[in-house]
Amino acid sequence: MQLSQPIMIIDDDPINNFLSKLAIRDSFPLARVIEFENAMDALIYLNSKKDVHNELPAIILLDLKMPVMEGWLFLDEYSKISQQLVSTPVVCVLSASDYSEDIDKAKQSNVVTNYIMKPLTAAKLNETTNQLSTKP
Amino acid sequence: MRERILLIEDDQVLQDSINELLSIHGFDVVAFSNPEKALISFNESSFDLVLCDNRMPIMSGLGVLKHIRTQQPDRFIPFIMITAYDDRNTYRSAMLGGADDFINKPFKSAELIASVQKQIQKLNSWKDQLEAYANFPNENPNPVTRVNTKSEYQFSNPTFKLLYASLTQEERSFFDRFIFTGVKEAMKVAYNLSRQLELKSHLYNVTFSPQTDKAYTNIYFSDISVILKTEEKMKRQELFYKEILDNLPADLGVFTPEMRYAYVNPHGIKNTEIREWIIGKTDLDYIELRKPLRTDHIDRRAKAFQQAKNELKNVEWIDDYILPDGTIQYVQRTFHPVINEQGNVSMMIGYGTDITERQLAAEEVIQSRLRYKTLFDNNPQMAFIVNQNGKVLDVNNAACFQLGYSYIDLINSSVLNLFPAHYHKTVTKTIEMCFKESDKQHSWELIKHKKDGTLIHVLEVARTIQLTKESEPVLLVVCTDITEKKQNETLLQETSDLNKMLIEEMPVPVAVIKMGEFVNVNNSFSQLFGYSEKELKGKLLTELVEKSYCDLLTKKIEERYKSNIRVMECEVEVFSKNGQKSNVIISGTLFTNKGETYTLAAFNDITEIRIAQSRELEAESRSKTILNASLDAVILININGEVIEWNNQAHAIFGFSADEAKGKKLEQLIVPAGYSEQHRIGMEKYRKTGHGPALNKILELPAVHKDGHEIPVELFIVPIEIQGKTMFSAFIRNIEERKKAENQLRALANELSQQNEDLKRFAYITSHDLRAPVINLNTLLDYYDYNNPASALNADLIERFKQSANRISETLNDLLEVTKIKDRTQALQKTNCNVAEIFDQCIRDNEEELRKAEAEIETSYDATSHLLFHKTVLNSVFTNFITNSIKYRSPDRKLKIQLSTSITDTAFYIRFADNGLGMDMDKLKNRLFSLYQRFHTHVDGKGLGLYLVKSQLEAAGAELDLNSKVDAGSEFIIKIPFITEQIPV
Repeated sequence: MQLSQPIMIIDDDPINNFLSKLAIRDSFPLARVIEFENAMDALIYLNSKKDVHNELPAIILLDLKMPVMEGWLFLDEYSKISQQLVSTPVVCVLSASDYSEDIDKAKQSNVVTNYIMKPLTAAKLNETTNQLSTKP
Repeated sequence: MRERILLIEDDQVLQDSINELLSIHGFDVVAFSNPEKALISFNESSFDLVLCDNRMPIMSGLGVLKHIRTQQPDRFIPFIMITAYDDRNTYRSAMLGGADDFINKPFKSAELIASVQKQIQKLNSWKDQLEAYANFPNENPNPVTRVNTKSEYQFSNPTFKLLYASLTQEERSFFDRFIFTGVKEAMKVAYNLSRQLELKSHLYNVTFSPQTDKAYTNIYFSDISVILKTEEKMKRQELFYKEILDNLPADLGVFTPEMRYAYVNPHGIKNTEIREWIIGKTDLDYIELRKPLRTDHIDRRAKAFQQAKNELKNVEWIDDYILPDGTIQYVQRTFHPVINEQGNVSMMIGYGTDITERQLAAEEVIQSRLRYKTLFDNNPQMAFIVNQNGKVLDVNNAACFQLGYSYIDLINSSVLNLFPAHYHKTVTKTIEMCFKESDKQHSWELIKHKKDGTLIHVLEVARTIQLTKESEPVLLVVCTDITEKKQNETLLQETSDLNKMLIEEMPVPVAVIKMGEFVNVNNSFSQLFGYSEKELKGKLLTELVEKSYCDLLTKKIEERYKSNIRVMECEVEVFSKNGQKSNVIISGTLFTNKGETYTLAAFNDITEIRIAQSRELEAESRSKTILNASLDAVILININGEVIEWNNQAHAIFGFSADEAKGKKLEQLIVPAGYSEQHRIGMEKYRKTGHGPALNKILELPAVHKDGHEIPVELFIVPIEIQGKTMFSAFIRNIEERKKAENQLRALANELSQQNEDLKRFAYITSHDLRAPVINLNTLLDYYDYNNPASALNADLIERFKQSANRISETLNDLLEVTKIKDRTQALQKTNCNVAEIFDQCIRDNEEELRKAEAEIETSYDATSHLLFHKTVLNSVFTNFITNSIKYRSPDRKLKIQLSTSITDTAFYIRFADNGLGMDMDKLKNRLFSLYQRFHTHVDGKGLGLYLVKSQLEAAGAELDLNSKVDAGSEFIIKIPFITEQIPV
C-alpha cells in the first residue's frame, strides 16, 4: 500500500517519536512523517495546509499527555477546523495510558477513530490503515 | 207598633170575619186561602203570630206548622191552630209539632182575641228575655246567675245550676235569702257589691252586679277558699324560705335588671346597717361608701352581670380575696337571670359560695405532682402521716405550729396524744377503718388538744397512700382548724323579704331535711340527682346515700345534734335516680321554724375532683419513678427560668444534685457564659410571643458541668401548660462521647479521602509518567540488533535506553519526595515564624540565580510578619516561588518579585508576585496544582513544583490561590487561618 499523504505524529516524548517512526518505516517505507512535540504547532500546521490535499496527513497519531497543550485540548481545537480541511485525516490516540477514563473519553470523541496503546507497531498501524481504506 | 198576623183559612167567609175581628182589635192581618202562598209570604216578611186552619185542601195546618218549625226552628213565633172540636189526634200532633194554642170550631170572637193577645204577650216577654239572655255570661266557669226585680232567678249558668242543685232544702232557703237581700241592696246603691258566703265548707266571694236600667242583677260566685288556702300556705312558706335564705351558708343577693340591690342575705353582707342601706343602691355606691376598695372584683362582677343579662344564662366566675391573715379565699360566684313571661330579665340572683377548700384541694393535686414533699411541709393545713399503729411518721410545719408542738415532740409519738382521752377509742377505730377501706378518702370532725391544753375543732381528711411500691401503706391526714368558723356561725338575723323563687332558682343543690326526711328540694337538686320534689318528699336522706356512708352520716348527724355543732360537713356518695354515683359534700346547718328543727343541706358535687385526686396520687409516684429512671436528664423550669424538677440523670450529667439545683435559675447552673444572653432573650421572647427559637426541636449546644468543664449536649425543650402556668420541660442528653467519636470519624474520613485522592493521582502518574518510559525501554529492546552490536542503530538505541532509564528514576524520586513532604509536614510542630526572616533566607539561598536574572525584590510587611506556622513549609514554598519566578521570567523585562503580608480577623495572608511570563488562567484552571503539569515548553520544568507547594500548605492547614495573566506575571496568595482546628459542636 502506498500513501500519497504524510503521517503526523504529535508527542512531546522524542524517544516515542523515534520508535513510532521505526514502526511506520516497517509498514510504509516511503511514507512521509510530520513530527510535532508541541500540539499547538501541529494545529498551526493543519490550519495553514487545509486546502493542500497532499500536505494534509492521512493519519494523525496523537499523544494525550503533553505540556502546554495536552491531547484533549488539541482535539477540541482540531474539531473546530476539521470541516475546513479538504481531506479529513484519521485521528488515532497513541497513549501509554490504559486508564479507562482516558479510553472512554477518547471513544466518546467525534473525531477520534482509534485508541492505540503505546508502543506503535507495524501491525497496529496496518490495522488502522485497513480501516482507512474501507472508509467511504 | 201593630203586630202582624198571618192568617191561613181556605173558608173565605170565615177568613173575612176573622180578618175583620182582628183588625178591629188593632192587629195587621195578612190573609191567605192557599197555604203554599202563605208560606212563601211567611218566608219573605216578618210576622208576630200565625193563625192557621187545620183542614185545608192543598196542605193541612199540621203541614204548615211542621214546615214553619222545621224550616225556621230559631224563629220565635206563636202558632195558633184552628181545629175541629174533638179532633184529639190533631191536637196531640200539633202540640208535639210546636203549636202554642188551639181554637176549636166553632169559637166565639172573645175566645179568639184572648188567645191571640195571650200569645202576643208571651212573644213579647220572650223577646225581652231573649235580649237579656244575650248579655248573660253563660260560659263563665264560675257560678253565675241573674235575678230580676221580682226576685226571680232569670238565668243561671250550668255551674250555678249544679251548685244550686247540690243544696239541701234548708241551705236553699238560706241561700235564696242571701241572694235576694244582696240583690236588693245592690239595686239600692246601684253599684257592685261583694259579700262572702260560706257554703258547704267553701268560701265564696259573691259579687252582685246590678243593671238598674235592665232591672236585673247578675250575681257572680268565685270560690276563694282555694286562694285563701294558697295564700296561707304561701305565707307559711315565705317565712320558711326566709329562714333558709338568712341561714344559707353562702352569699345570696337579688338584683334589679339595672343591677341595683333588691336583697342581700346576712352571709353576703354581715353588717346589718349596710345590708339595709344597700337596698336600691349599686356597687358603685358601695365603693363610694367603703373607699379605698379593690375595684377589680366589682368590674368583673359588672361584666358578668351584663353577660348573664344579655345571654340569658347563668354566668359563673371565681373571685379570690386576700384575707387579712394573708390566705386566699376563693369564692365561686354565679349570676342567674330570672326571666319573666315576656322573656325579659325580671331580676338577677347572685350566688356566691366559698370554694377555698375545693380550690386549694384542686391546686394541691396539681402541685403535688411536682412538689409533694414541699407541699406537705408548707401546707397551711396541718398534715400528718400516720401508720397502722397510730404512730406519727411525719408531720408538717403547720401542724407543729398550730398545735404548739415541736417536730421532735410529735414524730414517732402516738397520734392519740393529740386527742382528749374519751376520743381515743374513736380515733383508733377510725384509723382502722381508713386502712381497711383504703380505696376511699375519709373525713371527720374531731376535737384535738394543743400542747397548752386548749381544745380546737378540726376537720380531718384522710387517705391511705403508698409512698413506694415496697413500703407499707400509711395514712395521710390533713386537718383544718375550724374552731373559729364554728364560733362565727351565730344565728343570722332576718332582715328582708324573700320568696320561694330564690330557693328554687338557687344554682346549688339544696335540700331541707327534717329528721332525716326530705321536706323540700330546689330545682338544682332535682336536676343533679334526677328526683323531682314530689318523689323526694318523705324519702329518707339515707335512701340516696351509698350504704357504706350511711353509718358515718348518721353518726355525724347524731353528733351534731348532741354537741350542738351548727355546721355539719360530710362527704358521701349519693345515688342519682338513674343509679349513677356522685361524690358529694353535704354541708348542713340547723335552723328552727315554728319550734320545728330543720336541716338546710347543700350538696356540693365533687365527683370530678375526687376522681382527679385519686388518679393524680396514683400517677405521682409512677411519674416520679419514670422521671428518675429516664436515660435523659429531665429538667423542668418555670417561666422565670427557675428549676422546679431535676431528675437523677440531670444530677449525673451536670453534677448538681436535685436539692442544689431546685429553685436556682438554669443560667446559673448549666448555661455557658456565651449562651446566657441568648437564653435570656429566648425566654423573654417566649413570654411576649409564645414562641421561642429553641423550642420543639433538637439542638446541640455546650453546657457547663458543676466543676466548670463544658459538655456538648443534645437538648429538646417543650413548653408545657399546667393550670395556666407555663413551664418548660427540657430533655438533655450528654453527647460528649458521641461528639468525640464523630470528630474522630470525620478526621478519619478526611484522611481516607486524602489518601484515596493520593492513590488516584499515583495511579494516574503510573499510567502516564512511569508507563511511557517503560514502554519505550521495551520497544527499544525489540529494535536492538543483537547480530550487529556495533551498528549505528544500536548506538542510537543505547543512548535512548539511558534517557528512558533516567526518566524513570527521576519520576520515582519525585514521587517519593511528594510522599515524604506530606508525612513530614504533618509531623512538624508549629513554631513562631518570622516571615521576613524566612523570605530573606530563601533570597540568600538563590542569590546567584537572582543576580543572573538581575531580579529586583520588594517586600512590605503589614503590622507583623510573625505567625504560628511551619517554618520548613514556608521555606520550601518561598524557594519554589523564587525558582519558578526565575525560570519563567519574561525575556522582555527585568524580573521583579514582590512579597507582602496582611492580617484580617480570621487569617494571615502572604502575597507573592512576579512580572514573569504568566499563564492563561482560563485554559489551565483545572490542571493547576496537579502533579506533573507543565505550562511552559521552553524551559526544563518537571511539573512538580506547584503540586508540592499546594500539598505542603494544605497539609499545614493553609490555602493557596493563584492569579496569573499571560505576559503580565503571576500572583500567589497564601491564606493561613488563625483557628486552624475548630471543633464543631
